[in-house]
Amino acid sequence: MFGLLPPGLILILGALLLPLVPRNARAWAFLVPPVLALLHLGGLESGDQATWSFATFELVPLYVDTLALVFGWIFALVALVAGVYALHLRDTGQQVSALLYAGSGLGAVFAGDLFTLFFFWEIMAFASAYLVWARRTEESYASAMRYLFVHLLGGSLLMGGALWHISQTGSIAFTAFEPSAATWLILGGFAVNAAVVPFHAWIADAYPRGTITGSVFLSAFTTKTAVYTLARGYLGWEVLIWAGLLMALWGVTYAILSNDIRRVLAYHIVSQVGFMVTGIGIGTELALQGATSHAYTHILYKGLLFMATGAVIYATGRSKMTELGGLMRQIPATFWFYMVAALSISSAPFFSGFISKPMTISAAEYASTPTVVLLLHLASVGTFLSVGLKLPYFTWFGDAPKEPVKTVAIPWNMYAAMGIGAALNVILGIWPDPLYAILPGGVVDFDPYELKNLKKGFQLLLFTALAFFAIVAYLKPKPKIQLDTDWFYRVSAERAWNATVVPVERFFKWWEGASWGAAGTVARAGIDPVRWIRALSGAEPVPISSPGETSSTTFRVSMTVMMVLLVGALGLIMLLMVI
Amino acid sequence: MQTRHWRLLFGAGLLGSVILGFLGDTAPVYIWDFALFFAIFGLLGCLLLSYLAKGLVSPVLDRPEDFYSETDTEGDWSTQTPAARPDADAHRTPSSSGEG
Repeated sequence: MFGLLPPGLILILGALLLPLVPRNARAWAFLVPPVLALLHLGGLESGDQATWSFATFELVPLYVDTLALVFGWIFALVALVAGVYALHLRDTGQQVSALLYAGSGLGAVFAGDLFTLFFFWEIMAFASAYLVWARRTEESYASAMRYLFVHLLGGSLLMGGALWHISQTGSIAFTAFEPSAATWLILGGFAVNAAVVPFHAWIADAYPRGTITGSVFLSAFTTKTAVYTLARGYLGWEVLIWAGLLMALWGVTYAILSNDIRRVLAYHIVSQVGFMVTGIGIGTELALQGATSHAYTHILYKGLLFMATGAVIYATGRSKMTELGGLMRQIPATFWFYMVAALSISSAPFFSGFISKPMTISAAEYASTPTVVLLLHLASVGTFLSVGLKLPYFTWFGDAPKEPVKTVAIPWNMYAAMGIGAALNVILGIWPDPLYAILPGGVVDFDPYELKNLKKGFQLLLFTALAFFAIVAYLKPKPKIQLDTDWFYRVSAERAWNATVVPVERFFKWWEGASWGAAGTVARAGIDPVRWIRALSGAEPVPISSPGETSSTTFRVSMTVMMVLLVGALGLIMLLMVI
Repeated sequence: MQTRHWRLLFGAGLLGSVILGFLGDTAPVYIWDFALFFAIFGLLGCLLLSYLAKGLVSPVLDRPEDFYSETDTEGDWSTQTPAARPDADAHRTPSSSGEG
């Protein structure tokens, strides 16, 4: 279907046509492009390639291999599910930007050259920022601006590195890179989007401030596109192992402390992407398969987590754990949907995370040091602790808040989307073969349901839960935020502004005042030059006359004419001298 | 199910996972091959991370929620959800337009 059209363009074209559809049909029309993209993907095969000539370059807007296809499938699928979740929405701006965002993410994973990649990369930044803006509060506006600036910085690093790389090698192809200054720059650009610590703070800043439906889209594309680009360009770079471990542990530590429910989830994206980045750093076939399958399942369960928390926010109008609690009586279904996703992210047996995360850890057992393996297990414990235990406990159970929570009915389509998401997570957890069959690099040498994996899975989760219930009072959420690396550009930016821009502004303000003052003095003097001449010559000062005093007026006019003639003559002499 | 039943189920799960640890090939190669390694790791890991977050990070990096801006409206959903609108009581069902 559609020949060799890049699948991302189907969604982007859909985004452009969407405003032409009647308002009430728009939400349903949103579902058409993802379905078409899925059908189109079914016809693409590894090795397909399209080239377009652009100036002296041969662009490759479509480059299909197994790695790109895995990401392509899940991107189109999650766009469809999130579209169902947003069926009640009547906001054209959000619908268009969500489709544009999904389309550019899909475009980026099929990009065969660096220019095409950059093109989609930048659309992705703007389209996703709109999903935060659309919340329409002052703070979400500011947050989206910060988000945009960080991503433009990342985009600039990518563009700078790409141009440098092209000038060195003469090739615009996006393939595995050799270490050089240029490829390190590109890595920096990818690291921003992958939320690698310390470039990760945008995610915890922006995602909790996005709209309810917008954040479901946000959770899927940006970081996973970056995971894809890292897997393609930087497979086996050892630095990524340590960067990933830092992300995995940093994310869970902050998630344990966060109060906003979607901030907990945002920090968990950092943590989970850390697992994938570590897998890419290890770089063996099994590790790549682990990272890729984990990206796939992550999109499914993270989408469901954002959908369930979004439904809580929709129903209650609140998003902080300190203001929630005891919701199990009011909205029990959201709890069960949430728990499917929470058990998936914690890689509990029979849920989707169980077939992917242990694969990465298993690859680390074979090809890395015990330290790496144990730190990854520790991050898993933290994941279950904060997403699987703390968040649901203090949202659906725990003490009810002082101000009682009122709930409104949740639209049917939100339940439908959560149902689809939950079903996918469970099916994939029990029956991973369809996913394993499309992973890059041949037959998957990993069986999640081996006895030793089941031992790990059950013991780790159940005993983490035991410890949690023992110290649950200690973990009670507090109405606080935690400083993170965004402090450097949120607070120090103001200080830097005060130190550099403000003095310059003050100088110009003073200079402007002084100039106007001088001009005013000259102007006042110009009204009646004679008065000043008289004053200087020691004669009796004549007060500025009122219109009735004709004699003085005659004198003043003649004197003024004389002055004008004098100045004119001087000017003429100077002009003649110059010529 | 009542709380008592959930507790029983949880206890049975704990016991089951311990028994599971002693099944199959138990000859350890790595430290994590010991029968109860992950039970102890989960228990201590949870305590360790809780202490790391609540005991070490939180006292140093906690700030009030309006630290960056006094008008921080992160928890304000009045433009987005019917439940948070000032007139929420008057309209207990979601209207068909506008909200997201």
